[in-house]
Amino acid sequence: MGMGSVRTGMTGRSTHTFVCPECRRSIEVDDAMRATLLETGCVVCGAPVTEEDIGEAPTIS
Amino acid sequence: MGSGIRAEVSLPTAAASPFDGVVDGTTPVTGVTRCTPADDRERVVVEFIADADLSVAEGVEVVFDYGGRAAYRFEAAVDPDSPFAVLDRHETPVSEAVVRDGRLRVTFHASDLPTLRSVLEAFREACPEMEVKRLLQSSTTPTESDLVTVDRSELTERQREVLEAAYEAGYFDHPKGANAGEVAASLGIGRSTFTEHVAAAQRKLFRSLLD
Repeated sequence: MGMGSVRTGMTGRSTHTFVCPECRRSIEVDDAMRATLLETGCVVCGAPVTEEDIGEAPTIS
Repeated sequence: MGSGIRAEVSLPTAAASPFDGVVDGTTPVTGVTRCTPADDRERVVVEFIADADLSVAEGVEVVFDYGGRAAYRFEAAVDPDSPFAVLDRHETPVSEAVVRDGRLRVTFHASDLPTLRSVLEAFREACPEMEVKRLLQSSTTPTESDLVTVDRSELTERQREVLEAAYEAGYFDHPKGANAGEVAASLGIGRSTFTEHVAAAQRKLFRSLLD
């Protein structure tokens, strides 16, 4: 599991907050979308994405 | 199959959208639906749900009264830059559209990544202030996912305000970051008023979650 993940109890789905290093957009993404972003870059501006750009989502309690 | 992406995008209502000049965005609007007359593809008929006492522009009519809420309808010219028109061009239906806090939030399912990129590029060209709130890719099996829709407009503005303050203060944490009296004091209300608001809001939210 990468850093900064939060597992939501009800759905078992982890979410992460991605902040694009180029366009600065902040997007909440799930595990699969996280992998897609790392592979293909930001969906808005196309900038390459590294693990450091995908941090922790707000804790859901 | 199954490689689609669920996207939630937020745009100012003042940007190209059928709602520009129709509602001011301060009152929550939900249940946005629309259709295009077969004999005039340049027009769009838009319907939405909002409080029954909503102040609306001329040309907006109430088509159904739900009591406290009402269904409103109006006609507009199709604006090619509107997010709805962009999605139409991508043959992608709008899954959900609501207006809150001056912003139009549109949810849709892009069939694949190129479609998502193309939609977002068109959104951004029409409105640089476009924000992408959430992206979910459907790779989980149905048993792993159990999404529900929570209509936040069921909460009153005061209930949302109280919940936000309580959440921020750690009232819902364990152990609690603040007790009811402390959060109530920060809001300038009494403890019992605070707990009444929280209880009412929780009841509405849990009803949506547990249905």
